[in-house]
Order: sequence, then C-alpha cells, then structure tokens
Amino acid sequence: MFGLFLSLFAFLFGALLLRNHQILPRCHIARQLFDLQGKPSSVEGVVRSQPAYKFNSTLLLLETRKIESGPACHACCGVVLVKINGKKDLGYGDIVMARGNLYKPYRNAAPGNNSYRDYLSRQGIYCLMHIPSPYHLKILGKDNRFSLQGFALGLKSKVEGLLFKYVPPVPASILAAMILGERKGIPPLVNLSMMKTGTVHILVVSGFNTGLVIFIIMLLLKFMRIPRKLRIACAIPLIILYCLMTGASTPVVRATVMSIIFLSAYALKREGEIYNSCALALLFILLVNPLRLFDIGLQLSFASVLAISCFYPRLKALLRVEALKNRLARFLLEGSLVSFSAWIGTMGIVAYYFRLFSPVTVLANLLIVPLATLITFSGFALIFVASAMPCLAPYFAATSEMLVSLLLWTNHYLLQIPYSCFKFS
Amino acid sequence: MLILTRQEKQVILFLGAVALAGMIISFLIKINSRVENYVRIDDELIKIDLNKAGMEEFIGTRAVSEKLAQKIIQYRMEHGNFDELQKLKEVKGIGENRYEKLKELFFVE
Repeated sequence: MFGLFLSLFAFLFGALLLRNHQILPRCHIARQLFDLQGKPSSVEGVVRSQPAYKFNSTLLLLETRKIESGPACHACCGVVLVKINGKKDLGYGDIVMARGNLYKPYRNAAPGNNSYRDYLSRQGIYCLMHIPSPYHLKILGKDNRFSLQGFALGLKSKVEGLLFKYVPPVPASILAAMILGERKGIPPLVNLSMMKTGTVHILVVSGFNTGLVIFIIMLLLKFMRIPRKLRIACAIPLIILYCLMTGASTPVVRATVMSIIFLSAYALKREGEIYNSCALALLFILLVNPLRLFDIGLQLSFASVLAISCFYPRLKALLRVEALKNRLARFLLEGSLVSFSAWIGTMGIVAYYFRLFSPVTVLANLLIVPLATLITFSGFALIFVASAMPCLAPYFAATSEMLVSLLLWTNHYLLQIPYSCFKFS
Repeated sequence: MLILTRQEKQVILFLGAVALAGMIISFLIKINSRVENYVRIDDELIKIDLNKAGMEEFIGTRAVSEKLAQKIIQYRMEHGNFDELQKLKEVKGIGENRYEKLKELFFVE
C-alpha cells in the first residue's frame, strides 16, 4: 500500500511540476509577444551562451531584463534566442541592448516529428529575436559576478583554441565534438552519414566521455599520490565542471549524476546499483526541467543504458562468452553484444524519430567505437601536451588527424555495404 | 625511485606511442608528399560531388528541397557540369545566404 501511494504521489507531483513548468511567469517576454509581434523592440539582457557564428549569422541566448517598445518600458524575464545578421564579437556575461523583431518559433512539423517550437520550449526558449545588423546591438557592460557556467565556457574556449591551433579545421571540429560537445563545426554530411551507420553517438559527449574524464582525473590525482577519498572529493567538482563545459546536455548530466553516485559508493565502500542511479539521474534531470522527458537525447540516452544493463549480461550468459579461451575473440564478442544490446534498446526510438533502420549498426559500432576511444584519448593527450609542452603538440596532432581520417574512411566504406541503412516514410 | 602502477605504465606507454606515431607520420609526409593524401581528410568524405549527385543525394542532405534539387539537375543538363562551386548562384532560388549553406555540403572536382 505504501509503495502504491508513494507511486501515485510521485506521478501527481510530476504531472503538476510539468504543468507548472509549461505556464510561464507573468514577466516572461513570451507573454508579451502578442503586443510586440512584428514591431521593433529594444531588449536589454545578459548573454548566457557562447555566441556561435555560422552561415553569416551570429546566434546567442539572451537572458532578458528590460524591454522597450515605443514609449513603454518595463522589466521582463525569460531567455530569447537571438539571431544577428553578420558577425558580432560578444562573450558570455556581456550586458547588451538589442534592437530587433521578436516572434514565436514556427510550429510546422512533419507528422510524427517534433516541431521547432517544441524543441526550443524544452530548452526553456519560447521567443526568437531577429536583429538585422550588428550595429543594432550595443554592448553596455559586463556582468562581473563570478559564474561557474561562465568560467566553464571560458575554459572550453581555451581548450577549443588549442585544438584548432594544431589540427586542421575538419578533424579539429570532430575532436571538439567528441571532447567538448561542440558540434557546430562538424560538416553536415559527416553527421548524416554517421546517423545512417548508427554511430552518431560518438560525436555526442555522453557517458563514455564522462567515464574517460573521470579515469583521467583519477589517474592524474593518483600520479600525485593523493589518497583515495580525497581523490574522489576532488574528482566530483571537476566532473561537474566538465559537465558545464560540454553544455550540460541530457546524456552528460545523466552520466555525471550516475558517476557521482558510483564514486560516492566507491568512497563509502558500498556497491553502486545501476537501475537506482539511472532513476536518480532521471529524477534530477526532470526536477530541473520536466519538459526534458520529451527530449530525444534523454530517451536515447536512458534507453541505451538500460538496454545494455538489461540485455548484455543475459546475452553474455546465453552465449557463454566467459568460457571462451581466446582473449581477442572474447573481446570482440563482448563488444558486439554491448552494441547489439544498445541497438535493440534504441532501434524503435531511432525508427520513430529519424525514420532510419540500420542493420549495419552492430558492425559499425564494433569498428568505430574502439577508433573513437583512441581518438578521444589522443585528443585529451593533445590538450594536455599542448598546455604543458607545446613543442610536442604537432606530433600528437598528426596522430589525432590520422585517426579521425581513418574513422571517416571506415564510416564511408560501411555505408557502401548493400542494405546497410533503410530510410522509410 | 618512483614506483609506477600498471595503469600508470600503460598511460605512459600510450602517450609515448601517440607521440612516436605522430613523429613517424610527420617524417613520412616530409619525405613523400603522397602520404598526406592518406592522412588529410578528402572532400569526398565530408561533401558531395555536385556534378555526380542525384535527386536522392540532394534531398538526403536536408538542406536542398525537391524543387531546388530539380533546378540544380536541370541547370546541369542545360549548361553541362559545374566547373566551380560559385556557379551554383546562377541556379534560380540560390541566393547568397543559401549558397553559404550549400558550399558546406558540395564540392566540385
């Protein structure tokens, strides 16, 4: 009975939280769009993202403070996605006055697809602003208060700068995506071709990368002969910093929360339980933003982790993998079973949202995931060496570039296999 | 004397292997420029050949509609292959902004 009431309470609480989240506060700028749509308005706010320049436009998120339209001027709140025609040099924390047109994102979507408006609303963006030229945006000052997010983004820019300094643009953009979650520079066709082979997850910072970062941090701290509990205490804030650096996307937040739980369990000499830690990570994500429940990234991330946890041990026992004497055969079979388990868990979601079915996924993951591991390791090594010993950085960069080239060629040849991918309407 | 654990030794070996591989690649590129073709990323891997792309490939990029793909193919049939990417602007429906997006997707051999 207690369990039933608790479940009912949790369900009602979740439903109310979701509904509450969908109702915007009175001061929210999107609630004033009815009066402002189509009319030029001036908005004062703080830049809350790293501005991205692509296709002759600058995109940024603006946390609004004040809005002026005609003679009226009043305080407001909420985040606006701003698009400026042309390039404007801005940084996180800049206080700006922008003049342009405010409007709601369009709702048109193919049946079964999420609309752009839904996609933005899940990130807390309900309003867009178009600024015709960089001269319509003035920088008023800087928000000098210390912000962990700002510090993390500053660090991310420096690390990105290091990658682009030593590696040509295309491999550097792939390294930046795999290490920092920065995907804006990836050629669109690379993204599309990896989606077809079911390996696009390697271009997204996820649990794998977070695990790698934890491994590197713990190893570096071990090098410094720091005791275990102190190592864990140092590692946790660094993992949170990495999570913020990579944009705190759903897979990274999931991996970060689960890692913190497992590290804490390790420190307390207790066993971590994967289903409980998954549930806790999901609870944390949904408490902050319940609309993430409808996010494709969240669904895929949790589906793959749960599928691997559920199917992999059973398949391993069924095929008696442990009994194999040949280590290479055992390694290959284990890798295949992990990919196969993840594929079973995510196949339905991928087919529903992307209308894709990729039988080549298991083979592709078997070849590409170890390559991606090497690339991520060598990318981190490049960053470390470029900071500490820049004279050696070109050699690490050459290896990283070669590995990225090998990854793209492998993916290219996998797509040539007959019936590797099916697209359906 | 510094006593290293097995993991630490593996990391040091890995870093050494990466540096050595990089040195070998740099050396090979200097003595034989053809090696660079295997290391550098070809346009073929990241873009589509504008003169060989069919309707499915144009639409598959998601940046070209069926109508625009037909216009590009029509232009190719009437004027022959594109000899440079800039010629895309001569296709009706491709202005400066659209060209900026399309040049990321296509190349001309």
